[in-house]
Amino acid sequence: VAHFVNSRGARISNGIVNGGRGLPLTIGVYGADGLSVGPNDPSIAGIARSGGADKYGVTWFQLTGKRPGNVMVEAKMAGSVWDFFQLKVGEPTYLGAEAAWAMGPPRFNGCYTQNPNEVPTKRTTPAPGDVVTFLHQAWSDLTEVGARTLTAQFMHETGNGQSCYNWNLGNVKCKPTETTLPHMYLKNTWELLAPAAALKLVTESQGLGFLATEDEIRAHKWSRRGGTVIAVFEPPHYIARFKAYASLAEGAQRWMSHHRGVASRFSGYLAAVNAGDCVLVANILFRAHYYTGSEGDYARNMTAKKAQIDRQLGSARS
Amino acid sequence: VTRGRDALAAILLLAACSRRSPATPPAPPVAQAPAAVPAPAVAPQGDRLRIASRGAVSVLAIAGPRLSFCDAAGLHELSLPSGRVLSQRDACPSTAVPRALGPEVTVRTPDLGPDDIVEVEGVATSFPIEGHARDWVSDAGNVVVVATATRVLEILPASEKRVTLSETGAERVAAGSGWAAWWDGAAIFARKL
Repeated sequence: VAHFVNSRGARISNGIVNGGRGLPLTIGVYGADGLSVGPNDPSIAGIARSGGADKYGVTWFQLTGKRPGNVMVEAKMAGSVWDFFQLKVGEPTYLGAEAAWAMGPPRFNGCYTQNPNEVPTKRTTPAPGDVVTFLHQAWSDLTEVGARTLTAQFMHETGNGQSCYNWNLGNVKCKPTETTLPHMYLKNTWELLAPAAALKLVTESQGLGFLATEDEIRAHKWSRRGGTVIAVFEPPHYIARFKAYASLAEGAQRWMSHHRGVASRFSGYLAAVNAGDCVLVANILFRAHYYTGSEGDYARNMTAKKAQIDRQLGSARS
Repeated sequence: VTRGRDALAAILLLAACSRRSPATPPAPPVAQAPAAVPAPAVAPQGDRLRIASRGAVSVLAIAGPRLSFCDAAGLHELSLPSGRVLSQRDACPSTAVPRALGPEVTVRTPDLGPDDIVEVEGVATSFPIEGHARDWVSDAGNVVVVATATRVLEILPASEKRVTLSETGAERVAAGSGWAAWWDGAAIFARKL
């Protein structure tokens, strides 16, 4: 039986759906063949069909509020209403992922755009042994222990490599104009902003941004500073665009070169790295503003990762 | 070296801006503004110049004592510090133009969190910022200008100091010849550093 669904495919028949003036809302109709679908008062909302039925038999529409008010949205045939829901059009709040009306899955062979420099986002989790080997070969001042120490730092920064995509170590960003470099997009790029600034940016995001609800904040384990709200940007918004590298060696160049820079500025750094002194390494990196979190947590995590690597690789050659 | 870089940046900008479709008639001499391209409104505002823009600004660059930008009306070139319009053309580059040269500035988002960290090639110290960088540029490594949604910052890598240039945020930045410029979505601001 034909029925209305929301963008996530959940049934919304007979219900009340909140919409915003000028804010397109994605809705679907299961079994829409032969039905006429739309609001019964076109002065309150307009509707546009987005292609034919998908593989689940759902035809998708964009419903856009024109002025504040309530309107019945119906799927009917020859005067018989098969299904309906009420759309309540108010001023848009941009609250919740639903407000990001242009958000969707990658549609072009795993990419979000047709830019030839975009590559599909993929998790690239290097084996610790590969990182150690790479570091050992690429930086002759590093001992085997030193290479393991920096590998521990990498493993800590990337959650054992699980948060490393397209060999981009540290989530290096692209500028808005850097679309000629290999790049990829990451979902749920979030930012803490004053409410007015957040609303402005989300309004200007062309359907790729929204303000996170309390439920979404909890679900993603995001946290807020006082007086801020969380604005979230989705691919292919430029805030969600990051550089993509072809290999670990390519992606690690900048990271390694930065550590070399730290070693040249902080005299004890290389010795601490080569001694496997994660506490001192964490301290120097903190003083170099490499990270902003808790120094104690960083040192503890690095120490644990280093021990894990040592267990995995056996004793280090001197 | 800096002057040479400025000149190169200016050449790159103008070369890119001079690209026109085959159907378009040849460009008028650079110094003559075609009547069809309205001059931007320029006004001093405290310690800076405010230059009204029309629509989105696609290119913003400073080379020598000149500020160049492209908006919906075309390419504009202004003299600094006077703000006098030097030239205008109705064609803008269709692709991104190489901008300031110098050490690479990298911006990373640790843990995909809410804040970014700015790093300058060859500088051991990093510069954490609040929020995500919208645009950033280096003037030969001496100065880095970074725009977030709520601020424009000047970072001095040598002294590790930072100066807030604007508390309203920006989407595009440029730096060169001791000047910084930024576009906040409605106007361009240029300020001597």
